[in-house]
Amino acid sequence: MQEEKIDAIKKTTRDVLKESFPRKEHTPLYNSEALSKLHAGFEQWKNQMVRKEDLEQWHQVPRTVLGSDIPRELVYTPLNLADFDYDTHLGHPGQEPFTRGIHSNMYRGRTFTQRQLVGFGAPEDTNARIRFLLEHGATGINLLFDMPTIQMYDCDDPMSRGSVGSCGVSVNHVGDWELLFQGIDIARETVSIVTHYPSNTAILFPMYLVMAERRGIPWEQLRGSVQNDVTLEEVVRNAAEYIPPRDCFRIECDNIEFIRSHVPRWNFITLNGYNLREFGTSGITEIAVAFAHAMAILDEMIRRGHDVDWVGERLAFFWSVGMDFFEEVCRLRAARRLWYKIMKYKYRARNSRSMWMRCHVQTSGISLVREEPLNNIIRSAFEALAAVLGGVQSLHVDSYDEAFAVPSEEASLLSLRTQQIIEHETGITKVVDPLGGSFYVEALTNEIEERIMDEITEIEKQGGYVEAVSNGFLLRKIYNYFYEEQKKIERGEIKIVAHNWQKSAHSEDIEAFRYPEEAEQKQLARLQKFKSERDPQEVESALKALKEACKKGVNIVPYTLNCARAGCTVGEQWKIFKEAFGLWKRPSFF
Amino acid sequence: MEKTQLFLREGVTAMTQERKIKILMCCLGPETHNRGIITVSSMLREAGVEVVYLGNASPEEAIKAAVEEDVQVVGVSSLSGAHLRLGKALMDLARSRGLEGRIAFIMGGVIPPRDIPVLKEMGFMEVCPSGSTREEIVGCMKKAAQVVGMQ
Repeated sequence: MQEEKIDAIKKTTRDVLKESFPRKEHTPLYNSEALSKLHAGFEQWKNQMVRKEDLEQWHQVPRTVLGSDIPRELVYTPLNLADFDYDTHLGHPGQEPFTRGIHSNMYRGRTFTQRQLVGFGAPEDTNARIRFLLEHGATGINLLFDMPTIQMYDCDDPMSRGSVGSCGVSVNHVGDWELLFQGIDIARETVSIVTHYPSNTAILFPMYLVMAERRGIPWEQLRGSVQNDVTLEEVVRNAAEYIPPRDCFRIECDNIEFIRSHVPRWNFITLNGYNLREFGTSGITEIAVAFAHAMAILDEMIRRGHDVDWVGERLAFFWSVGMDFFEEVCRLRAARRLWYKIMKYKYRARNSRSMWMRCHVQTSGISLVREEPLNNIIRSAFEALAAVLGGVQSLHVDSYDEAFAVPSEEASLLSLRTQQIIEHETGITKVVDPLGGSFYVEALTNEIEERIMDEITEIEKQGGYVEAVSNGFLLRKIYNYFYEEQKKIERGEIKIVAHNWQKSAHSEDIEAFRYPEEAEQKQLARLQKFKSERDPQEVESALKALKEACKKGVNIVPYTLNCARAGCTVGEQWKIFKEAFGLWKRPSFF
Repeated sequence: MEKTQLFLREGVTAMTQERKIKILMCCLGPETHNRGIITVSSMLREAGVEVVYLGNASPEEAIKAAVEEDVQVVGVSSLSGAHLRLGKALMDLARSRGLEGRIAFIMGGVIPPRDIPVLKEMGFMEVCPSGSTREEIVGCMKKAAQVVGMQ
């Protein structure tokens, strides 16, 4: 038993799948006679019809922002899919291996959730924007915090001065949550709370739970998600202070364990490929890192004695969708198939739901530029179209003014309208996986799956996900990618219209969003009042108990929940984490 | 103190007349985006500038490090919309320490065009919004170092 366990650790996921993937009876779609006939004709066509220079450059790499550099052939035929078996590679919609989608009827049954990000200023400012979007047909809430909150400083911390309410909403304590959700029915709406990091998920989500408690809403009724992702806290985040990756990973798993047990319909993690990719990496690395991370979580949860299906059912992913249209469609399909294989044949999941790669996607912010900003509407619309053709569950479309500021109300509405036009005017949601069966799409889906597996193996050879974070491997990989990409843009290999190609001659201003001026003062006064009204002894003992829990290694979330009830602030709890775990010196990326 | 770990001292030094060019790069406050500051720091290093990479800092910490490291230029990266408030805090502090003219301040990042003159009015010598090229960024920072060096 012991030996078997050690052996399993040494084996890569690829090895495990190679051994356990069943060798079913194979029924290729194209018979060998047809293929050899096609082959002969194809060679003849190449010789007679295709120019010499096109033959020499048969494979070309599309150069796009955040692209993967996968070479593409001039044309694809069944010869690229000689081995193609419908049941093994595709299956019907809602059937294993889920390549065509996780539901049998896909968007006919339930459309993608139209979930636009919101967050700026004081809680009442964001509350007004959430209501505005809901009144205009948004079908979900997607909440973003300001820089101090996300980095876990209270608004009265010297570090926060000048940043309160920037790029998100300022939240310091339970009182701010109540203001933020005033007049919004949290038993009805699904709420995505973009906490990003495990540390602030452990602090902020319990405050949401306390708000529900005070409204008399049982936690079982709450639906939504938190992000809770080590990659974001330790790799993507720019910060003055980090806790060690091992401790951060433990907090992530504590959150999962607590939320799964007490808030059963809540997605306790959204494995965030998006921000990693937007930081600067390919769509292949994005998925490989998230999958390697998800496997580290499953291993830890199994170690803690939980059932794989209990955890797997609620794992959700968050991807960036960029400009290489077919690559993006195929990536989503490949990710679904590979995740299914991992869950079924590595982790032996029994419940179909735990084999689903469910995802929210956001169009790529980094693909948007400042020159001729209206062009960004077109970019985002193509990306959103790829996402829907790829079969996603939930979507945010970036706004055209994001290279200038957070979106204005008008720009925000335009993004929502983009989603509504795709859903109601293009007709593409009527047919499931409409690109399935294309020689090109299927060949590229296969290639991408293979490449994701290569990069998972690379991470496993580093000693696994947490080690690849700790030793700086991921940081270096990303740094190398985006530095090379910058050079490709400078050399004009990657063309961005009006930015480095057909460069715009005129510079223009747009009526960019203006932050509410008084948010910081309002929040400071509010925090002071809140602190004066709480019981200092209760606060102190709640924080003391949290610190002990951190050190003891028990699940910390009951203790942060207790802190939320006692009125402890975000900053007070982050301070406890830093004291209990100590600070980590992140490896340099240069 | 821990931030000294992040300092880049291996940058090739370039000479302007008698002083090498040395630039401090930072984000003010809890700014979480860093692709921009890392990219610009690398560009400067490739151009032979010695870069002190401070990362996140309060305006006080940034001024303190700029004086201690004896840099000619401070580059500030801002992507989250707090550039006016934090820019003002930084420049007020610089003025109160008598650093005006001794150190040049340059801002880069997601900055609406109409805020550029406001930042210059505050005392920033140059503003490089997103979309600025390598030549523009490196050029304006080297020029800023020269202007300071001549005073």
